[in-house]
Amino acid sequence: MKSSRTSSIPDPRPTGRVLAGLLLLTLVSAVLSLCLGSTSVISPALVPQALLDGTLEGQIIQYVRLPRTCGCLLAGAALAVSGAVIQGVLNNPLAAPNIIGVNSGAGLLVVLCSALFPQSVALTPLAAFLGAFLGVLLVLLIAERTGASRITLVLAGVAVSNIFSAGIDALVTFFPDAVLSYTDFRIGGLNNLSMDRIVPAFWVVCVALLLLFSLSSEMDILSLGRETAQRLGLPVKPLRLLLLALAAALAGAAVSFAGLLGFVGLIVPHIMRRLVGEDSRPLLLSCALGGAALLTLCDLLSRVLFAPYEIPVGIVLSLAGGPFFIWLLLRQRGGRIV
Amino acid sequence: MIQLQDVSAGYGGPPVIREITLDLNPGEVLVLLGPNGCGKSTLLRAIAGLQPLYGGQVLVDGAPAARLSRRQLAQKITYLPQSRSVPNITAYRMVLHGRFPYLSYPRRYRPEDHAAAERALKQADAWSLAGLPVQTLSGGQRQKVYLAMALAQDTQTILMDEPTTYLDIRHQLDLLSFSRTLAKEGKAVVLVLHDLCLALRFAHRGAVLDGGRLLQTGTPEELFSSGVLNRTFHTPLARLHTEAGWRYYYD
Repeated sequence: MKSSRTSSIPDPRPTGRVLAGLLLLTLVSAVLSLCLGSTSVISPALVPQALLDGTLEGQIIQYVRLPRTCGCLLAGAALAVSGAVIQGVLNNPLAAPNIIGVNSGAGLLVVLCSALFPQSVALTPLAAFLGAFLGVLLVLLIAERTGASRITLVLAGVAVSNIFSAGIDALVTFFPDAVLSYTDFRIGGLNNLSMDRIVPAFWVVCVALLLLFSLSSEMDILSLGRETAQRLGLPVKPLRLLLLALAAALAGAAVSFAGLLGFVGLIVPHIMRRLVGEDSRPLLLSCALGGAALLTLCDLLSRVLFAPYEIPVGIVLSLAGGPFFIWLLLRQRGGRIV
Repeated sequence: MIQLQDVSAGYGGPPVIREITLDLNPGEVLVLLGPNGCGKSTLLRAIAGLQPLYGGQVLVDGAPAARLSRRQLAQKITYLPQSRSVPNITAYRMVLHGRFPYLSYPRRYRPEDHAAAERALKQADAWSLAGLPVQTLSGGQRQKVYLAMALAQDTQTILMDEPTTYLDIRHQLDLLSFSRTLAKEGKAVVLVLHDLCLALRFAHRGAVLDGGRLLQTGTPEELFSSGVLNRTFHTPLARLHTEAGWRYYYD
C-alpha cells in the first residue's frame, strides 16, 4: 500500500543518483590519494602488489598515504555531518563547527591536554570532545538566553571562537612543544598522521554517526521549528542537547588529529542541501560522503600542487571555501538569513 | 474532551489570560473573539501545552494535561499557530510529519502513516500539491498543506490561530465550512478569527475575551443579542435574516 501510494508522488530531487555519485567520488578520491603524492606516482592496479612486496612505494602507501587518506575521509565526513547537525539544531545556515567556536574549543582542550599530559595521546579525543561540547554549549546558551537573531548568534560564536583561539595561542606560547606543528594545527593539516592517532577518533565518529542516523526522524521534526517540534510531541530541549553533543563529538574527533580545519563543516552541508534537500537521512549521508571526498581531494591538491613541497590542507580548503562563503553571504543578503 | 478550569497564563510577566474556565466540546466549532492583545492566541498556546500555566489546570479527557507527556498531548490536541516556519521539504513529507506523535523509536513512518497522510491531503484538497516543495507554494496552498498536516495528526481537538489570514474569501469560506465538517465528524474545533461576520456565521459557539478575561460564551445569536460584541469591539454589529440563516455585518 505504501509503495503504490508514495510512488505516485514525484520526487523533485534525484537523491539516489546523487548519493551514488558521491560514493563514486569518495572512492575515486581515496584511490587517487593513495596513488598520488609528492614523491612518486603509482598506478592503482599496482597498489596491492606494492603493499605485499614491501617495496619503498608500498611502505610509503602503508605508513604515509594510507593513514593520511583514512584521516581525510574520517575528518571530512565528521566535520561535514557535524556542520549539518549544528546548522539544523540552531536553525542557522551560517553556523558551522569552525565558525561558532566548536573547533577552537576542541583545539584549546587538545593543546591543554598535550601541554599537561604529553604522554597521554589516548586522552586527546576525549579532551577534544569536551572542548567542542563546551563551545557548542556556550553558543546554545547565548541563543537560548538572548533569543538572538541568526546573525547575532554567529557573531557571538565568532567571539567565543576568538576567546578559545586566544587560549590556544597563550598555551602554545607557554608550552611550545604542546603541538607538533603549530601551523598545521592552526590551519588544519593531515601530514605526519599515524593509524594510532586515528583509531580512537574512528570509534568516536562511528558511534556518533550511527546515533545521528538513528535520530534522523527527530532531526526532521526539529527542522520544522522549535514550536512545531514541541507540539508534535518532541522533547525539544534534551534532544537539542543530545544532537549538539554528538555534533561536538564528531568535530572534536576530527580536530584531535587534523587540527582546526575550516569550511568543510560550512560548505558541504550547504551544497548537499541543494542537491538532496533537507530530509535528514539523505542529507547526513551525502554530507558524510561529500565531506570525505572534498577533504581528501583538497589534501591531494595540497600535496601535488607544489610538489615536492606540501602546504597544509587548511590553506587549500580556505581558498576554496572562502569565496563560497562570500557568495553565500551575497546570495542571502536582504535579511533572509538575519 | 478538553476542559479549562481557572486557567491563567502569561510570558513571564503579569498574566495575559486570567482565570478562564471553558469547555471545548466535541462536535462543535468554538470561535474565540476579542480585540487584539486580549489573550486569544495565549489561550490557544496554553491549551496546547506550549505556555506554562500560572494557575488553574487544563483537563484532557478528565486527566490534568500536566501529567501527560508531550507525545500523549500531541495525540490529543493539534495546534496550528499563526506564524509557521516554511521548511524546504515536499508537502507530502510535511504532512507525513503530522504522524510523528504516533511513532516510537526508531520513528520510521509505517504504511498506515502514509495512508493517513494521503487521506489528509485529499481531505484538505491538497493532494495535487503533494510532490511540490512547501517553499514554492502560495500562501493559500501552504495553508492547505498545514491543514492537511493537522488532519494527519488525527486528534479529537484542533486549535487554529487565525487560519484564514493568507486566504482569499473563497478559500476562507471553504476552510470554515470544512471546520464545520470536522465538527460533524466529532472533533472539537477551536478557531481564533478576526472577521466577526464570518465567525458568527460559522461558529456553533463563541467565547468573547477582553483584557485576558472571558466575558461571555454562547451561541452567535446569544452573543449578538446580549450586546457583548458591540461593547467589546466598540463597533455596531447588525444582522439580517436570510433563507440560509442569520448573516452579520457592520452597520
